[in-house]
Amino acid sequence: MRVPLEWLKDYLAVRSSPEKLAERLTMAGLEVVAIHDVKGQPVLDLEITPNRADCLSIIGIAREVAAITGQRPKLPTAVRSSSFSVRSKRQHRTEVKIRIEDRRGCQRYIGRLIEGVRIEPSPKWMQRRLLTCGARPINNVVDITNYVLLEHGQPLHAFDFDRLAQGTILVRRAKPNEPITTLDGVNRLLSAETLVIADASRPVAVAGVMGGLGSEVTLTTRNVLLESALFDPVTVRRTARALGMSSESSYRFERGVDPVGVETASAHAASLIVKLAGGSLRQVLDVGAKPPKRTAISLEAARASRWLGIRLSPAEIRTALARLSCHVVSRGTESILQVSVPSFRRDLAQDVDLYEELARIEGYDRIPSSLPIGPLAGSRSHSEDTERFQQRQSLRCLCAGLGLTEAITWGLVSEADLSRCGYTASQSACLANPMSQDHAYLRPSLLMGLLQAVRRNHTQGESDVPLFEIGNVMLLGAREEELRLGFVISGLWVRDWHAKDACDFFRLKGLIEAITDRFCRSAARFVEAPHPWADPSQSTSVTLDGCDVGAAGRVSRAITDVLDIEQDVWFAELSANALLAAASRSPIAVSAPTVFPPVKRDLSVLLDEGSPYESVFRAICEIGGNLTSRVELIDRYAGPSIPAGKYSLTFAIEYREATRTLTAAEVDALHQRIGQTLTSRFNAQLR
Amino acid sequence: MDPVQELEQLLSEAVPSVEQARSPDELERLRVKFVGRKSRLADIMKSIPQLAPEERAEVGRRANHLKRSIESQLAARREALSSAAKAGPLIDVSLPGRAFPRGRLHPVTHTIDAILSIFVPMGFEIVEGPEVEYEYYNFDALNIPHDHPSRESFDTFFVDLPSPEPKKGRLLLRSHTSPVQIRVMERRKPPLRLVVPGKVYRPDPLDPSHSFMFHQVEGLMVDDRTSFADLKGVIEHFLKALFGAKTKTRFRPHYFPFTEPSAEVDIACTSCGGRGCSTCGKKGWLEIMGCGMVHPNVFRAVGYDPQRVQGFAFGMGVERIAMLKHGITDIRLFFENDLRFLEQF
Repeated sequence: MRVPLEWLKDYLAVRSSPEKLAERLTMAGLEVVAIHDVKGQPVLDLEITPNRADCLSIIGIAREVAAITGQRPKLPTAVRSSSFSVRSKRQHRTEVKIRIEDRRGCQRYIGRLIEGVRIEPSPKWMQRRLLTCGARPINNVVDITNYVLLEHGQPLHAFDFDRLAQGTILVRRAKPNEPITTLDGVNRLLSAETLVIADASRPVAVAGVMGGLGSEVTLTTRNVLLESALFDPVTVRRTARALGMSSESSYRFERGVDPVGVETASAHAASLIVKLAGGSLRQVLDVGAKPPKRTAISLEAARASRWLGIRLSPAEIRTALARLSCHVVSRGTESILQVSVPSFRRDLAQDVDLYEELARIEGYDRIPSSLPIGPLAGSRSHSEDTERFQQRQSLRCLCAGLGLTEAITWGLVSEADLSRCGYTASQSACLANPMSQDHAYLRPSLLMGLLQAVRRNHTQGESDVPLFEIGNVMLLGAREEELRLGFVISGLWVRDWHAKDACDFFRLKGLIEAITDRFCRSAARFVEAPHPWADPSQSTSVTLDGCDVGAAGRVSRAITDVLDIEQDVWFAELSANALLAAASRSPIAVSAPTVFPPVKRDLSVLLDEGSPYESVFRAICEIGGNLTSRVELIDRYAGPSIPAGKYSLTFAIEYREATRTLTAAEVDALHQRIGQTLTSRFNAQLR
Repeated sequence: MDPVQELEQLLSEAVPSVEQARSPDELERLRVKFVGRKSRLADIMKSIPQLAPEERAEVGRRANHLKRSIESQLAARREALSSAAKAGPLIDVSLPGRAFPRGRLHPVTHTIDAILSIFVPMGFEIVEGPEVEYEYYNFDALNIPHDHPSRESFDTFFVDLPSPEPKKGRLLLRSHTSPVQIRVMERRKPPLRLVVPGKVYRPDPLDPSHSFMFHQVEGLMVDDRTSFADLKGVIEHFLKALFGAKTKTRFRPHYFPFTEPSAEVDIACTSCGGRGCSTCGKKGWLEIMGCGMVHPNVFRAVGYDPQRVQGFAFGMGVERIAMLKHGITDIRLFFENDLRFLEQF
């Protein structure tokens, strides 16, 4: 909303500098976003919040400035009185007929017929003001409607009366697919929802939004019908949205115009037409409901004080509200005040709306700051959410501590992202109104985003990428989104002058083990299982305490190739909720370390390639029982010095008994028994 | 020569020679020379009984002292030579330490933690809610009716799934964290003090200051007495804790459908201190958050009696705060996940 200061000065004295005035308006809730200089004249650019429709006019701003500065605005005479309207009782050749068929869409319609106008350019001063406010001058009559719209905030429309079939104005809903060509030259087909102004045969305007080309005022127009109406905000808003058009008129109707202003603006515009375009007022028709009485709101001074945290006496409230043209109708020092609200403040509907006005007009900076003394919620169960959140932050810290850097990737992915990673579009929730196809689906996994992050870093020349993310994914079928922990590693895990350690599956597995071990105090297990995104040779499911909690593996090269990632990427995704649940289980029982010394023995076995490590390890633990306090794989070897089809494993086994020192003889016997078991179960050869 | 003087001289001879000895053999020779049975010291000690009685004690004390100190010096030197023999060659301690993988937390995580850690000690609980939300919680219950221009400030992504609870309207990606207030108030009675961190979505095309996904922290404090003055106090405390004790704040009337009165909070520009610069658009102030007293219609929606309950709500953008704190000028950096950016935190 652009407000030229010289126009504002028509209604009140502006004594302060534009900057000072801007500051005061801003601090009263009418934010001045810029002060423009238009040919040496300062113009304030205001951002009007949707509740303050009354400030979408120069007069509205003048009233507000007056309230802030404690002045009385001089409003144009036509605004104060509606005495200009004359009712012609005479039957006349050019009689107007107005009927409102749809009372919900249009409460009131005032038509003023002005005969014998001369269409020519409007005066320079008017053109200048219109241009400054962003309106294009057209001709005197059209300019007057726009000028009064800017001045009063009441949208008006002028029809060429002689182009209205049978001199009729009908406010009705459109017939399905009824055509109209609007003033912007677009042919439109209307729906039965659209409220239109029609003549006897066809729509001549989209009510409250835009006029029709067929009835516009042109150079040959002689007789003008001036429309000033009160249209329903919701109807106008729906129509404007459905037709994809917004105008100065619809913008104001959507926010609600002053029901009293419908008449004053009409009268003022008509007087300007008569003055500037000649002609004479022939007829005034005022159809529909008269403006409602002013709303009254009960305001309790004590409650206002409690709400705002300042002491307000009824007298102070009365004075402050009077500046806003609100009249306190109750007497004296009664503690409950009846406040009558002016018709243009449609946003003031209940007591709290007045509290805001009181705070605003006093200035928010006048309200002291205090620290609350209100009671706290006591119950323990209430802080569970807090704990859960803080635990999740600990999980983040653990991941970072292990060497992964936290990423936050888009929660919305593309169809290509999905299908690449083995998901079909029909398995994923999509947006009804996506902004672009790149972000049209709710991610079913963190994989897509993390792969994009790897790719991003690759294209920027960073090939060593260790990233993790904790975030929600959405699976079709699941009722709620699910919190996941995902990570990707690629390239070198660490690199320095001493050593280079490349990422591989076992680095990935080690990370998962470290997380479950430290965070959940529980060991993760890995079971070969196929995943659509994973290379079948390195694809596992992860289980924790017997429950499936996620997947881990090497991202298939078909995917990395498409993304131009020219090296292997390992990815794991775990249910963060499962990790958090495991972490919050009852505290673990701890045993004091024994003082009796361990006996250490190494065990080296030659195995067939088919026997997996884990079953050998389990067999050792099983036979050793409580006496094996530690079983550690210290070497795995397959190579030239070993027969083909075989590999060797070397374990360091620590034997220990909690309550006494073991003898060499019993350790030897046990160690031997373990060796024999491996020989018989796995066809192992002891080395 | 006076025995006392002679002992002094022996000491001044022994100290530097032991210090400079380079081998155990040399040390042994020095031991024999200074404290051996045939050393000059041994001679002096043997001669003590012949001295005048008044000299005996003094010379004896000094001789013993000399013997002990040379012997301990010999031992120390022997130890030093032997450990030097065991040690390896000198290392270049200026070489870089062994590398560790470079794990960092995302700036959004850091900022959310910084914000929450100010509110939690004031008794605020951390609560979260779903990102896929019902229209009712995102709008209607927050006094943002259908077909109202105030909805325009909250353009929304709708999710193309049938709503499990059609009464609560369509499913959407929440455009603010405020729906969580409603969910909690529906479930619990006041007093409440909540902070709600979370991800939100709005269909804004990506540019340096807009992103269709970002993070917010929402707050709510509701009981029977908390006032607008308390709101000011809490927010001022928060901003001072976050941006420094000298932070200047101002509360500007604004409009939010779910609060009344509503305010926007500015802080004096962090880069120019209020004089006006490019960061603050020459205004001297930076918009930092929105807040207000919870609208009675919101209380009505959750079944509270607006005559008995009052309190405030506030909300802020996490990325915006992180950008101000760290001088970041492009919001897209938060979601590109470029390690060169992430590893600065």
